[in-house]
Amino acid sequence: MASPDAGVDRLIQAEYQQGFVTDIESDTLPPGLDEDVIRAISLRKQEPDWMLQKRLEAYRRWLLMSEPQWASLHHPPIDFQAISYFSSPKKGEGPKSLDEVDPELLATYEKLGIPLDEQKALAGVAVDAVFDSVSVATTFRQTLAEAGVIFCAMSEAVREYPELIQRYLGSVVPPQDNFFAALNGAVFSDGTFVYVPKGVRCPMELSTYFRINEANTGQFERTLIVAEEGSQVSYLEGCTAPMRDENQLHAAVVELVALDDATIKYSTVQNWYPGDSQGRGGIYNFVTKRGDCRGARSRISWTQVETGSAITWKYPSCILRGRDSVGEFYSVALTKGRQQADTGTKMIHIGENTRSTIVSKGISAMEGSNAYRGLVRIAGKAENARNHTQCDSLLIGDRCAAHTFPYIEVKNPTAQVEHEATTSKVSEDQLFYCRQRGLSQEDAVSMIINGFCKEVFKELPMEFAVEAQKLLAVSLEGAVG
Amino acid sequence: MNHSLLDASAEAERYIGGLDSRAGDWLAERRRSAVLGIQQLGLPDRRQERWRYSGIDGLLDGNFSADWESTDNPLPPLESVMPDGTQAGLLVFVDGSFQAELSFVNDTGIQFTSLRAAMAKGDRKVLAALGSLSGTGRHAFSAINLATMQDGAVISVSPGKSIDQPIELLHIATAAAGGRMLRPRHLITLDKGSQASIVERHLCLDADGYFNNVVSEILLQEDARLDHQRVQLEGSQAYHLSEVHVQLGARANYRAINAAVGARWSRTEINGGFLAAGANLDLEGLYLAGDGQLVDFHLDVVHGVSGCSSRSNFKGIVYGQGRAVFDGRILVERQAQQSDAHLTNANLMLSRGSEVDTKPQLEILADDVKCSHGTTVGQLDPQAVFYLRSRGLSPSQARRLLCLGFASEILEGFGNVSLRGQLADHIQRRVESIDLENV
Amino acid sequence: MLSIEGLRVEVEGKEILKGLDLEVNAGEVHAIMGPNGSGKSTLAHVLAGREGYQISGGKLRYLGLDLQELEIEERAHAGIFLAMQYPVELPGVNNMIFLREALNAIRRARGEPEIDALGFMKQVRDKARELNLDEKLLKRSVNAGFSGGEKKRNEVLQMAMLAPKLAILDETDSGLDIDALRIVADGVNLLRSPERALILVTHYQRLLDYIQPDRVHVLAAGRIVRSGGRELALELEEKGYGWLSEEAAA
Ligand SMILES: Nc1ncnc2c1ncn2[C@@H]1O[C@H](COP(=O)(O)OP(=O)(O)O)[C@@H](O)[C@H]1O
Ligand SMILES: [Mg+2]
Repeated sequence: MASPDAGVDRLIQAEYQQGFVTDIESDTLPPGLDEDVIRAISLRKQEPDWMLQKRLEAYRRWLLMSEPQWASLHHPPIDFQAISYFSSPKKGEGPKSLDEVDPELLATYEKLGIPLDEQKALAGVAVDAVFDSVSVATTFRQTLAEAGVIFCAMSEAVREYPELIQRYLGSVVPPQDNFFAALNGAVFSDGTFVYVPKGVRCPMELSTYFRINEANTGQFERTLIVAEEGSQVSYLEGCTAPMRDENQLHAAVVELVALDDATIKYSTVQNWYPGDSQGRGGIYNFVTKRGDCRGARSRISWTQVETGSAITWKYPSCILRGRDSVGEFYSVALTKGRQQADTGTKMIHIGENTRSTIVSKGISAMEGSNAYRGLVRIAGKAENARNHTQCDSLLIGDRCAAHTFPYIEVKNPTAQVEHEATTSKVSEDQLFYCRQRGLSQEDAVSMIINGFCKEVFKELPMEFAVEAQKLLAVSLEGAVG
Repeated sequence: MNHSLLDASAEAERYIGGLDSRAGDWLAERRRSAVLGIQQLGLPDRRQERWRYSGIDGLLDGNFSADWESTDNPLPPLESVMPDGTQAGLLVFVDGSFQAELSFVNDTGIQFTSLRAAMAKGDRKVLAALGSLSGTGRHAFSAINLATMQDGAVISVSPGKSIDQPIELLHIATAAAGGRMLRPRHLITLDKGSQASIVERHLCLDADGYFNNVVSEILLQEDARLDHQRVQLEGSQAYHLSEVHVQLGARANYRAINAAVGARWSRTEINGGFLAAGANLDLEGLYLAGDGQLVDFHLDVVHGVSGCSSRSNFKGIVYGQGRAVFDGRILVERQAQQSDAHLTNANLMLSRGSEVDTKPQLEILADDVKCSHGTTVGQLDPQAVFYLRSRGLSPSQARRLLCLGFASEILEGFGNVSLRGQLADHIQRRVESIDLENV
Repeated sequence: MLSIEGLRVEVEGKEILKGLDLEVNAGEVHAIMGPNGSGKSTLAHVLAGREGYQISGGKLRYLGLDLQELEIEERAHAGIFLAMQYPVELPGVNNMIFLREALNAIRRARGEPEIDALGFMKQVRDKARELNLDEKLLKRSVNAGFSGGEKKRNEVLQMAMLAPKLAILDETDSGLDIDALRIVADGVNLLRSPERALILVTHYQRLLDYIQPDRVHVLAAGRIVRSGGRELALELEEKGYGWLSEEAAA
């Protein structure tokens, strides 16, 4: 009779379904990085001089920094001179209307389940499609503009909304923040800018779909979301890439700013190519995400479902500056094959009555390794701050690893901080019970794992919760056995 | 980095030429490799993960000297701190040196010799065991102890013997310790199926700043059982670093309860490991940090074989400018299936200006295991304070009672009743006298 | 319907069932009684195909099939249902979704169309009401944080919904108060039909006041040591199991 792990194994060995390559003519800079490359990127994007200067400043800082070593991650050294820092479909950048978008690109997104045609699109979701280094289309701009919401490619925002960009870009994650943030500050190519004016509740879900296509390129996108007083916005990003034997670098920076009474909900379904079961290929996903709850009663909520990438290194964080502000982090991270994830969050409580919640669910299968790394800091002036953290790990098979590294620093006696972590496996009793009721081994495992992740899935926007569950089931296909 | 503490080689050479002349090359070798270790490890600094929250500036500024042996000065009166004499054994160390005339062993199941005597005699068995559990150490302080060890207790309990009364290791720092680094080193072995309890106390009689750098190596063979009650009540200017290395054979049981309430700066590192299945490690702790104290606990529990369990439960109270650091790591290695490992750490913050940094860690490489950790930081429950005040208690009395209640779970683990009473009194006295307005 | 011949079962090298015989025909209700540790749950688990039991001898036939050849879920598809002595908790798995997936898995296996969501909801609500099971429990995770009695009633709800051909209830009555017992008994009686068979594993004859068994068996020391009609249960109530075990040992 099958052992429980046999079912898991079968579940996990599924094919990566987004691994195709789009055959399209592209304009790609030769590999390598120096000031000329940065000037070339800036020129191609027709940027104002102040933007070029910001890039050069970030580059100069980057030269002085070294790659962080503290995470529990292992990979061969990255040759930053072997990467191409800019690639754009020839007919790609900044089309005025959908009719101008290369049909090959439209077909690619259609195949990925993201129709860019507004007629076919998921109701109530606007999409910015980023292909390699550029944004190729942004839907529903008209509808959004009527509500006063700006939703556009970052490169366009630099040209069209210089005051806003100068004011906010880099204000949450300055270039000196860390090695990858500095690199991003120097070479970022595109990404999404969202601005929700005072009192506006964004009428639809916003989303960006990131696609890496070209070989030997890195993707360095930059996202900035500003929610003015009393506004609300929900944003989702998705990511995929072709299957290739080489590792590719994705080093993004995301900055969120929430002013008084504003709410930003940021969800990620990350499904970059994870590499094969032997650890060949896959994306190195080194991302800096930070939200600044600048205003009183503001709220930033991060939800992530991380199933892809060979390596994930990201800690979406909240700086709880405004009094009564709230930070949330809900995460599911699945690693299988030789995938490694080192992810978690930082909740920095500065203002009074600030609250944070952390729910992290790590699933490790086959030889996957999963680490939760998190910081909860209560500053001396943060009266009545509250944090609750729950970290659970599920281990599938005897060659995987699950680590939990929380750091808790409390300097105010009125704080209340609680952290709990557990590890478990899918128990034989649970499998027997489900199968006795007629479910197959695979369905039983998938159901138990979805149950394990439920607290996180329920935080995703409705439209995507089902997708996330399916993605998890597909990602697990073959891993359970 | 340069510091007089790092320069222990002269001191080590002095022992090689003197104290251990009969021990021969073996011990010399060990001391010299520890001296090398000191240079390689260097002094800890806050960029190192294990020292992230514990600065050692004060300790370095103390310029404590290593080149020291106890003098023949007459001892000050010690009656006030001597226990009642009902122990199975009493081993007294004054300023790090064993005092035969104050000590006794009353049970034939216990073999005892001082480390100094063992080295002087060249006792092979003892020498071979030194450093076998600790290695050269993780940091310079530990290596310094090994390079310059001069005295300590070497205790073993015979197979199958059950020692009913506790064995007490009493450490007293006197005025003569001022400005010095003391470095006792203990070696404790419980043979197959034996049972014992050890009370380890660190006290101070009227000494200024000193640095007590203690290392203990504890080996429990199959089915052995040790109950280890440790109390750190060093002087208010003292620095205290104690390192415990414990290894458990099949089905062995080690329970340690650690109270750290004294010293200006103290750090306790407990390293636990298993040699065979069925063993159980139970670590408890209680700490109090106020008045500019730093109290630091580091646990490193490694499940390297299958079928063992560990449980750690530490509670602390901080106030004033006090700081508590807790770092509790559980590692379950790939082959350690059916491990059961749990850790909890609860902290009570009584006043402004205090700080708690806590860092539990789980590193799990096996799937069929039950592991968890939990940690909390909070203040006294205002409801409870209100309740007590509505029954007529003053705020400070209410605080005293509630703190005692918080600590009682750990205090009750002290089998030694007078020790438990002493600690309870100490904690009550201190928390009741906190001046919340002026901290 | 079910025929067990000379069944021998070992757990971790220890023989628990030592040549057990049992015939159950469609339409019958059998009660199996016996002291603690006599192997009742072992028998129930073996019928459902639980791993960890070594069948060292004997035959297990069900509706003309060799049970040993079937996987756990294949037995469920073939109509075997086990209400467990200790129902398992599934954190985060919604009770209703679980039941619907199970029902549809069984229907698919039998080539029947899947039940639509609305029809299912209505049916499950009606059944829950009949069993006096708080509707809130339907929305919670399977058995997670349920009281003992709630878990048992949830088992009976699942049984009612899945409509098995052979239902095995392992001490479903223990831990229930008298009202709950009656509800469970009603659920079981509703299921009684000429096509179905039931095996009630129980410790007390109390349940048999509400569900009239056709046959009563006593399991002791790994064998059926005595079989009879209802009166056997009453005799056991009076005398305990001691005399039977002695008889078996003799
Ligand atoms: N998984 C197991 N491992 C070891 N022994 C078991 C296991 N399951 C059952 N047993 C033993 O088998 C015997 C029968 O148990 P069980 O079938 O549960 O009895 P009952 O249900 O009649 O009380 C008992 O002695 C029990 O201890
Ligand atoms: Mg039973």
